Amino acid sequence: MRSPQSALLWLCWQRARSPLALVLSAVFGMTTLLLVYLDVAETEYSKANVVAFVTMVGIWMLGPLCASRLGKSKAQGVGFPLLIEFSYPVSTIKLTTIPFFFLVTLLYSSFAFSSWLLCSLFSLPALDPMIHFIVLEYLIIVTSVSWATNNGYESACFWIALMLLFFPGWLIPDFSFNGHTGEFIAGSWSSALAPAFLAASAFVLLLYGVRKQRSGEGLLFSSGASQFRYPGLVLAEVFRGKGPSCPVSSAKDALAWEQNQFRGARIGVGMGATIGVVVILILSLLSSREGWIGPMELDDVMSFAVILFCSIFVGHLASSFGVSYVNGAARIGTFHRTLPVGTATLAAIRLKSAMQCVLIAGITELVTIGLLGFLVLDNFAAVFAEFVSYVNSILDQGLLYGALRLVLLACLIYISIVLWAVFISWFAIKSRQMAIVFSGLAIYVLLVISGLVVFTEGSGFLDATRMVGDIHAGILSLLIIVTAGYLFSILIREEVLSRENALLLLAAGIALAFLQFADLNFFGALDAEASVLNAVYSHTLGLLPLTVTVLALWTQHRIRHG
Amino acid sequence: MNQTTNNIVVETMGLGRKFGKTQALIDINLKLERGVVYGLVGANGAGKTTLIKHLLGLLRCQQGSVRVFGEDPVLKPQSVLSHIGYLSEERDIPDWMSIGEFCDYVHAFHPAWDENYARELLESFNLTRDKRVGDLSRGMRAQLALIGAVAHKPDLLVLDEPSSGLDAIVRKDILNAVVRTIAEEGRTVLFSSHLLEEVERLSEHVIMIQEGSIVVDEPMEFLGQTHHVSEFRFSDVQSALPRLDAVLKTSGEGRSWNVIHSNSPEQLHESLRDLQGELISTRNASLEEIFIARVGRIQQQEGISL
Repeated sequence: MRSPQSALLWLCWQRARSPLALVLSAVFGMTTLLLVYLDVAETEYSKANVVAFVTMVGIWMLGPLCASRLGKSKAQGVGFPLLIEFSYPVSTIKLTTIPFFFLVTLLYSSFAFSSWLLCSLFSLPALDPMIHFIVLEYLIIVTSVSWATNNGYESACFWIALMLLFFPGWLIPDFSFNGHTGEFIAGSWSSALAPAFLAASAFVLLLYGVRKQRSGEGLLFSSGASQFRYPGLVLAEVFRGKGPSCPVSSAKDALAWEQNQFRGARIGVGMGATIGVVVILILSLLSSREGWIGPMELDDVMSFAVILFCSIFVGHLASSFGVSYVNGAARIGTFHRTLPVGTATLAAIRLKSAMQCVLIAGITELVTIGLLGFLVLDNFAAVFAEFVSYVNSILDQGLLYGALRLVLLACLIYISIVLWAVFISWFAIKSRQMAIVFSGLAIYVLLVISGLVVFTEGSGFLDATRMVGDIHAGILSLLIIVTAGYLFSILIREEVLSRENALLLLAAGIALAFLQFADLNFFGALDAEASVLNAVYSHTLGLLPLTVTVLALWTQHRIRHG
Repeated sequence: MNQTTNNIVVETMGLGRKFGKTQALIDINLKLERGVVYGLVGANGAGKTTLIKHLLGLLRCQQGSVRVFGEDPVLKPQSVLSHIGYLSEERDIPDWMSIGEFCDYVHAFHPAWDENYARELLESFNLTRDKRVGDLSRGMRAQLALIGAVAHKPDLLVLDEPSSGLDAIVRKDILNAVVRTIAEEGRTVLFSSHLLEEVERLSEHVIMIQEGSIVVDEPMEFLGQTHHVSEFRFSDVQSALPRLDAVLKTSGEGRSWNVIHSNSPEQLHESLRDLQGELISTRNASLEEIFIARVGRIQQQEGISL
C-alpha cells in the first residue's frame, strides 16, 4: 500500500467482502433453484426476468449491508461511514469518491456478473440494458443519499423526496412490468435523462455533504442531531409510549415487561396499522401509474403487504436473542447474560413476545388494508371478494379444517421468526464462517444444477432434477430429525431444559407434527404422485416447530455461554 | 445452593481456554475464599477478563473446571448469578430505560435487593430516577451500573476495571461504595484494575496474571513483606549484575544499582558478596514495582525488548 488511495481501497475490500459473499451466494442459490423450480412447474414466467428480479433484489439487499459495513466505527446509522478516516491526511474528494466508486462498481459488477452467468448457464437472452441502467442508477442514488448527511431528519427528508420523485416517474425510466407473465418492457431512453440527472445531482450532494460532515456540520441542521434508526425500531419506540412501570415481583414479569417495550401488543397494533396504511398508499399510487398492467388482484395486494411487513420486521426481530449492533460491530452485551434467570426462560419469553407482536401486527395490517382499501382503491371490492372466496373455500371443508389451517399458518410464522432470528444472530457473531457456509451451499447448488444440465444434455433434465430434488428432500428430512435429537441431548445434558420441560416440549412438538400428518393424510394435502422420499419430507416438516425451538434454545445458550 | 463448607467461593481447576491459536488461559488453579478482597492485575490481554467471564459462566471451560459457590456457572446460571454482583468494563445497561426502570428491573431478579441502600446510593451519586440511561455521562453510567451490582448485597462482587475511563471524583465515589460493600461481613470481592494503587489500597490478596498464567497468588501483606527494592553500591564498575533467581529487575549503571528482589535484603547481599556490593538502603516494593518487575522479567525471558 503505497498511497492513500490503495490503502482506502484495501480497507473497503476488507470490510465489504463478507456481506458480499453472503448476498451473492443467496442470489446465485435462489435464482438457480427458482429457475429449476419454474422449469419443473412449467410455468409461463419469463426466466430471464426471474434472473433479473432475483439478482436485483439481491443487490438491493447488498447495497445497504455493504454501505454500513464499510464503516466499522459507525453505528447503524446514516452518514458517511468512514469516520475514523476523517482524521487522515487525504482530501475530502478522494476520501469520498474512492469508497463510493468502490462500492458502486463492486455491486454493479456483482449484478452484471451474476446475471450474465445465470443467463449463460440456462441459455437465456441477455438482460435488457434498461435493467442495467436502473440498477446502476439505484446504487448511485441510494449510496449518495445514505452517506450525504448524518442527521436523521435530513435523511428522512431525502428519502421522502425520493419517494415523491418515484411516483410521477422521474426517478426511474419508463418501463412496464407484467405481474402475470413476468415480462419487462423498457420505455424509451429519453425517459432516462431525468433519472440520470438526479443520480448526478445526488453525487454532487454527497460530495458537499461529506465535506460538511468532516467539519462537524450537517447540511441544514446541526450534525447528527438525530441519528437514523431502523424504521421498525423507530415505530416500536413511537408506539411504546408511557407504559406501566417495571414490575419487581418476579424475574419473569420483569423480562416480559422489557420485551413488551419493543414487541408488545400495543406496538404490534401500531406497527401493523402503519404498515397497512403505507401498503394502501403505495398501491393507490402504483395503480394510477401506466406501468401497472391489468386490474389489481388479491395476490398483488398480499405481495405488497407481506414484503413491506417482512422488511419492517426483519430488523425488529433481529435482536431477538440479544445480539445487537454497536458502533457498526455485532455485540453480545453482558447485562442480559448475567441476569440470574434460566436460559430457557429467557429464550421462551423473548420468542413468545416476538410471536405475539408479529401476529397482532399481521392481523392489524390486514384489517387496516381491508378498511382503507374500500375507501382508497378503485377495484378493492373485487380483491376483497377474492379474499372472501378464498376463506370460504377453506371453511367449506369444515371448521376443523379451517382451524387446522390457522394453526399450521401460525406454525409457519413461528418457524420463520425463529429461523430468521437464529440466522441473523449467528451471522452477526460469525459473519465470516456464515459467509463461507452460504457461499459453499450456493456453489454446491450451482454445481449440481450445472452438472445436471451438462450430463442430461437437455433430455431427461426434468426427471433428473426431480430425482436430485427427492434425494435432497430425504437429506433434509434426516437433517431435521437428527438436528432436533442432537440439540435436545445437548440441552438436557447442559441442564438448559429440565427433564419435565423437555417432555412437555417433546409432547407439544409431536402434537404439532400430528397436525401436519392429519393435513397431509386426512385432508388430502399430500401430492398423490409424490415419491416416497418427498412424502417422508412432507411429513417430517411437521417436526420443524420442535426442531426450530430446540435450535432457538441452543442458540440462546451458546450466545450466553460462548 | 450447594455451598462448600470450607469457605471457598470460587474454585478453578486446570482452567484453560484458547481463542483460535491464542492460548488465553493456561492451567489456572485458583481458590477465592469468603470475605476476602482479591485484586486481579495483569497487562492488557493477559487474560483477566477471560478469567472473569469464566467465573460468570459467559464462557464455558474448554479445559478444567470452574465452580462458583460449588456449582458450574454454565450449568446453573440462575443459581450462581443470583449471588453475584457484576460491574462490567462496558457499563452495559439498556439505553432506553430510565434510571428508575433500571433499578426496578434489576430488583426483580434479586429478591434481596435493598431499596433503601439503592436510594441512598442514587442520592449520593446525584442520579434521579426519571433520567434516561442513554442521556447519562460515562461516569454516571458507571455509578448506576455499580448500584445494580451492589444493591442486592451480593455474596461475590466482581468488578472488571471499575475505574476505567473515569475522572478522579467518580472513581472516588465508586471506590467508596465498593469499600462499603467490602465492609459487610462475609462478602467476597474480585477486583480487576490497571490502577495498581487502587488494588493495593483495597485488596487483601493479589492475583497477578500474565499471558494466561497466574504468576502471583499471594496475600498483599505477604507480597509487600517478601518483595523489596534494595540499593547497592559496588567497589568496581559493573556493566550488569549476575542473573539470580530472586532478582526480578535491576536498574542502574557503574557502581550504583537498584534491585527489585523477592528474597530478603540480607540473602541478596550475601549473593552479591563476590562483587563486593554494599547494601545502601532497602524498602518494601510497591505493587506497581512488583508488577512491572514481574511482567518485565517474563517478557525478557521470552526475548521481548522493553
